Amino acid sequence: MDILGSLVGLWDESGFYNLFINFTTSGWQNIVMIIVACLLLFLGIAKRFEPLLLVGIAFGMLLTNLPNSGVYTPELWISEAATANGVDYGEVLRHGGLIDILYIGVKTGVYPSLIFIGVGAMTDFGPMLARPSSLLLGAAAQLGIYIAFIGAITLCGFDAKVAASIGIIGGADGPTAIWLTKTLAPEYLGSIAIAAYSYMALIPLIQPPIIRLLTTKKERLVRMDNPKQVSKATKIIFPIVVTIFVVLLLPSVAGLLGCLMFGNLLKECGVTDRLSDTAQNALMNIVTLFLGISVGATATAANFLKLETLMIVALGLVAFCCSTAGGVLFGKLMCKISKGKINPMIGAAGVSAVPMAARVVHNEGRRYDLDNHLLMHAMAPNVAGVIGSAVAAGLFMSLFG
Amino acid sequence: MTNMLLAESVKVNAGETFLICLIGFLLIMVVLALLIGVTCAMKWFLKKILKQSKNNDAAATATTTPVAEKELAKGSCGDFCLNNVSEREAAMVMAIVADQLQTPLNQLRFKSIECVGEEK
Repeated sequence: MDILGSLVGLWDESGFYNLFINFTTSGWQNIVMIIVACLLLFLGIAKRFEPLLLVGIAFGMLLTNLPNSGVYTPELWISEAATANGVDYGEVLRHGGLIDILYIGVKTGVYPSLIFIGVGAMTDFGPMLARPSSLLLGAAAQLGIYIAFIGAITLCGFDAKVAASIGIIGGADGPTAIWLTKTLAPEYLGSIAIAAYSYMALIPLIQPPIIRLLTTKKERLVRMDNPKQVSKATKIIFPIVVTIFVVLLLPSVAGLLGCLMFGNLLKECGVTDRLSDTAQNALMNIVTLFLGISVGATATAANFLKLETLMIVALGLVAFCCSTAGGVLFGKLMCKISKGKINPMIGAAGVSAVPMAARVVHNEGRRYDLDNHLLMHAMAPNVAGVIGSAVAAGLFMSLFG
Repeated sequence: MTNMLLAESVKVNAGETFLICLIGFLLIMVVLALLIGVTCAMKWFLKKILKQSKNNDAAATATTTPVAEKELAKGSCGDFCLNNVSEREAAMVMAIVADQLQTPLNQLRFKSIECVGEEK
């Protein structure tokens, strides 16, 4: 047996050899990506930036950028044949690595939809049902999606599909962004998912200055009446009615909105407590694990180290800021119409990101009046924003999908 | 890799972009405004049904003979029901009741103590 030859072969196959021998071509890019992955891990673990997803995403990114790891094969997903005829899943199962197999769930849209079942099971639509007009705040806070869409096409030269995927970052809804991007711009999935989740984690820093800039102190001090009690029957019938109405209107949102409402029905109907519990905990956790690691793995050096990534990060921030501004400005309008009965700050919670955005509004309210508790009021546009961003994604999917 | 995908890309000019945005944003507004209408109609309908069923119940009760009020046992102050309280709170309530009645705690009568649901 040629032991020396085997050892040489072992060295030739190693990632270290690959890094050094290809240093000037792909090696340095892999090293940069490993550093970026470690930085994201630091942000997730030490700074607690959306750790449940960011840690998984960063670790997937780390794994995929270690040369010869073979866990993810971009060619199986983004090749001429895959683009022309669709992905050959048999080929993926035969020749793909671990993350290729997990990524099937992203590519087919299964994970975002399953996550929405969990989100639905954790969401209380009660505050929104008590004040249905808050649905309009959830719609107004999607403004950033369209501003970023315009910016991505006119200023940065992206094509409409990629621009739609970048714009949806402004919906502040990770699963929705992934659901849309995996179809419209799979090559940017890693960058868009990272931008979306990072900004969602940064909401406590991004939103307060915009809220303060657009509202007066008098408006920030507005106290709102307690929301009326909503009957159990209303809570049970709501998800069924919304599913029938919205899916008949926009069939493309069936996957997302249907699952969100299904999860909510499990929670509210009172006879499926076990299923609701599973959707909220076990299912959600398992899918989050798979989603995070497989989305992170798409951030290969070739896909990520591009000028476009910086543009996506910048446009994502624009989208977030404009969405917040859209919600607050519409909140001001509602404040005027209701003769000062609605605190305009709750419009900022219309950007989904449940419940972080609502908590930010609550804290802003208490900053000026310790007894002004806006959490329940802000939860209404907050959950309305989830519906709003799902509708926006569905519209983009119908147009470009 | 990206270039291969660009063959499938959709190019739109500035005018079309603005139009897509305008229509898209308005559509979201319209869909959610319609949803408000549907929600309000649903609430109104449910309220009406509940009101009707309450009226029916009241009418049914009025036709039946009223049941005589349950007489209290001699020396009893009536029933007191505690739901969803911790052992500590229940013990405190018992102590307060005993103190108010000037009766030793061991002379109070507890009809039932039962677990009505597991904490999740």
